[in-house]
Amino acid sequence: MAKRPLGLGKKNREKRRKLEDSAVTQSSDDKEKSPTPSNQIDIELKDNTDPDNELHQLEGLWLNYFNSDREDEMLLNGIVHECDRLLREAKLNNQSAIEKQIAENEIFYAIYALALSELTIFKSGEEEDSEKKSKLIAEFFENAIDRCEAGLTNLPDSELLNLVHSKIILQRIPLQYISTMKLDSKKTEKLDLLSLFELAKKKYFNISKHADLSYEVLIMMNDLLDIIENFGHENEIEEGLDSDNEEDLEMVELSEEHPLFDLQTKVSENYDWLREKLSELTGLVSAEDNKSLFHNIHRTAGELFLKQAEEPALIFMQQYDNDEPKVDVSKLKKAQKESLDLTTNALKYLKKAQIEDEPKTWVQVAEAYIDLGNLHDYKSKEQENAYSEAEKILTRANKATNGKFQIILDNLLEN
Amino acid sequence: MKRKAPSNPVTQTQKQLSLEDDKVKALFNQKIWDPKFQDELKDEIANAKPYNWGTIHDLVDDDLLRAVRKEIETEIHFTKKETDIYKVNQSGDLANLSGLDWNDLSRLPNMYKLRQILYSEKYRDFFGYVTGAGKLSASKTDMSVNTYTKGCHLLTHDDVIGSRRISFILYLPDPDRKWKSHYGGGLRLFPSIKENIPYTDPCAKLVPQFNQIAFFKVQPGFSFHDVEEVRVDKHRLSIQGWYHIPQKGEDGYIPGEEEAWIDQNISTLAQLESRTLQDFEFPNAEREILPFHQTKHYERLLTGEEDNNKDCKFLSEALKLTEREIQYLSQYISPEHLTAEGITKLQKSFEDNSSLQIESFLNDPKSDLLKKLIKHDELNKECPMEAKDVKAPWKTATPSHKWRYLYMDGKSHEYFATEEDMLENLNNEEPSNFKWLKETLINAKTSNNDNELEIALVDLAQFLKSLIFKKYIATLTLLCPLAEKVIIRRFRPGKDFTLATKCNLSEVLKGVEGFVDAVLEATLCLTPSNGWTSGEVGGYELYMADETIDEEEKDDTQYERDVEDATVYRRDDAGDSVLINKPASWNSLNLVLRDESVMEFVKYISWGAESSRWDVRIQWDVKSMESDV
Repeated sequence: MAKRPLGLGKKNREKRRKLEDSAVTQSSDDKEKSPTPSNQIDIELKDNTDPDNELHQLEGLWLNYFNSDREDEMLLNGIVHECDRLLREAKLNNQSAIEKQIAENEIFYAIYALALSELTIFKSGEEEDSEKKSKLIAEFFENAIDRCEAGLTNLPDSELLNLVHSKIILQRIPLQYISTMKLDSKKTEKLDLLSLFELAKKKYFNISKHADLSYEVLIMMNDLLDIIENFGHENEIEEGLDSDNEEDLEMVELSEEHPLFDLQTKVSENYDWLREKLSELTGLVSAEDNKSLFHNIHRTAGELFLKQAEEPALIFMQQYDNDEPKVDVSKLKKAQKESLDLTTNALKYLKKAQIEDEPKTWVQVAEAYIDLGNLHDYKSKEQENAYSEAEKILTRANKATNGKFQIILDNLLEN
Repeated sequence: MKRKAPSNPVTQTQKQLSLEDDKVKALFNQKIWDPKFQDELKDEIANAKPYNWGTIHDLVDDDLLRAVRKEIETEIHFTKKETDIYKVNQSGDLANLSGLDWNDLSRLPNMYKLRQILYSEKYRDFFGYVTGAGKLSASKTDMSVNTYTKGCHLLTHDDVIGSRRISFILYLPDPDRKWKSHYGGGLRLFPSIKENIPYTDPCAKLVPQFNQIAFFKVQPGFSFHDVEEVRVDKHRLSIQGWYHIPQKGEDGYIPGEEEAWIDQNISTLAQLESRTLQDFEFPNAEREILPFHQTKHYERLLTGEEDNNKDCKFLSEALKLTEREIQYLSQYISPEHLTAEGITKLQKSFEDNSSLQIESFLNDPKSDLLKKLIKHDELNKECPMEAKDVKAPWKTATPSHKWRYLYMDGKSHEYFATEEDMLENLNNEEPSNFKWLKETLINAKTSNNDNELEIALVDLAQFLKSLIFKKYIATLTLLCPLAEKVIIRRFRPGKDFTLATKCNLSEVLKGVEGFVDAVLEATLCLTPSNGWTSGEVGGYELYMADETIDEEEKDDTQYERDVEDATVYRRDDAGDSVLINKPASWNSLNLVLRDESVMEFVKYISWGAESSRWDVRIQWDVKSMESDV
């Protein structure tokens, strides 16, 4: 008859004891013979694909990584090995059919290059010696670019491969170059970051079929511009900035000799470029096709328009600040119009980025309404309407989140 | 119940260089030496609510404290620690990451100076006078440095450890900015309904500023307080310290005083575990004993006696659930968990592990309906955040140094403001009755509130209490249910938790033949939002081995163990002691046979969580039909 069941704690102690006993009795030879546990994964293939086609399998593997939380280095290594194997076998066995298939397959080269480029993220965390690390990362990026260029040799018009190249550059600039820079770093002849950045822009394409990748590249550019803008402030950011507006940081002015100097002077221009591309991309994705991508693109676009509105808004708001010198009326009017147009535009995107059960996405709209209200003439009907819209949304969002946005609502009502 | 202190008092072994009185005085704000200030403060502390506490702004010399802050920033390494009761960045010396060496502060000269003045005779006399605590030890110094960053918190406790007499916290957030109330991180003080039963919500909150000290007399069973979660991405740095009872050879030393104090604390701790205090816990730990004829059904199922019933068609030769029963179960349970193959797989897993995690437990229609209703409730109804605002059918779990959450248990609405309210409830206990609750909810429908979610949850509870569902559980676990308890729970962000507890075995059922000295527990998690997997926002249910069982085999005397037991903080949950860590999720059932060596808790839900954690928790006392050999 079976024994009476043990509780979780006792069972655990029993298991541990058994494990310890077996560890003692098992000879080291046995251990070597014991099979390595296999890490099997289920690959979901796209509809209408041939499950026996190795290239389709490869694409399945890549999508598995691309759509995951991207923490599986082993999977990435597997993808790179699979690419190597396919290329090698195609050449060795003179399998002209598969060789031709590969040569004409932009997806194959894109995956190969993207996987190599993505591996640098893991490599940067593994190696402690900074010199070795830098060398290792550089090698991976070089290899990634080589694969991309090999593909482009066969398929010179491939927008996808150009986009991949753009991504590699935008991944490389912060990871390989900026991460080692200090405030007193000097330019070198070998490294021209501005040209690299321009090349990334040139190679960028909004591709409807690969809108998720296009969006990812734009997000990388957004992050990179943010890094350039905040260069020198890393420590303050670690200390923790918050929603209180008291802590806006001034851009640290770099010397002309600094490797980031040229890029820093073009930050504003590059934000313009980024906004333009994002606006275009919003037209290529529908909510029906990909809801989350649709929301994300619109949110980022909205946020970037709000950011652009900040500067003229500051000029306009100077009239309410007694400590600031008086600005002439025409300049105020111009700043008001400019910031109102941008904020209205931002609002248009942010409204589309709202998600029914995510109150923070409604609050972004409310905050844009508050900005809009601030920009309209004092106590005008437009101002009252904008504040009232914001109040409605915030009241609803507070109900949904147990008062998470109460401080914003309180500030609105107080003023 | 074992809790470890993050730091231990340092008894100064060698004579410390003492600063002259004048120098000590000069390093404090001069107002504190003014007799008028002292008397006013003394009066304020004596009359403070909910117990004797006080605060002083700008306590020490501004330059000195800024220098201390700078030293902490540059010389001290912080490590984030998380247990059931706290999440905090604790200090460690750069050379010794496990703890700051308070015996060697050579690299922290300003910290050294600060400690000197805080434990100087002049200041101790001032402090003893205003707090009414009398003489305090100079040799037993006891300080730790903590920084609370976003998400950090410390839940309700009374600070009773060893010979502590006064607790103080000297705050060092950014000296050039005001710390605002909505940043969180406030020190909150709880009144008590009676000794050792703190009220659910605090009645006082201190918003900490740079160079402000807060302090209170350690009063076992009364000085309950917590540190509100920090809600923003800022550092709330603080030095926490304690003054102890005078030691041998010191002014004010009374032979036997410390021992008597510790003894008293130990007995208080014993009380915490006692039945008397369990009378004041809600929901109470008691499970309702099942009718004898119902138990017979499970016995027959497990012994195969139901085979005699020729009219029934069973799921399989081994699984004695009838088609009619499977049909009943399929109203709620996913079809894959009701096939012979599915059930056998679950049986095997439970047999191997004494636990079982079933994903997609409820079928799609029920899962979709509940998700829709819970989301609707989350987004459209204001959730009460204080016990006084909680309305029927929901109630607040109490006392707050054990747990806090909203629940429905099929009994009448309760709200306890006084001890009399609790005694009245004890005098008129009622059994759980979800059928009655459902009728009440239907009758209470209004145009503004249709109670749709509550009714759906109560329906689910009724299903989980049904005879056929228990037959299903008996089939999966091969255990016969003897008593049960079903509670529907909601853990609100920024508010709710349970601390680690062991299970209580039923005293009444212990003598039953085959009684298993463990409790079978199921938690059906119905949390509709994302973002819980990493555990960053808490809300996970954690089962851990209580390693005191192993440690008790060591040579510690009972007295030594009890002193350690009287400490406030719990061991880290990292490492081997974690048996199951289940993040909040949608529609997953966690079934565990928990013996007395296993502790369980639901981690405090961070203010940043997207929604409440919702679940239904069921407990059964069980017996085995198998032999014990």
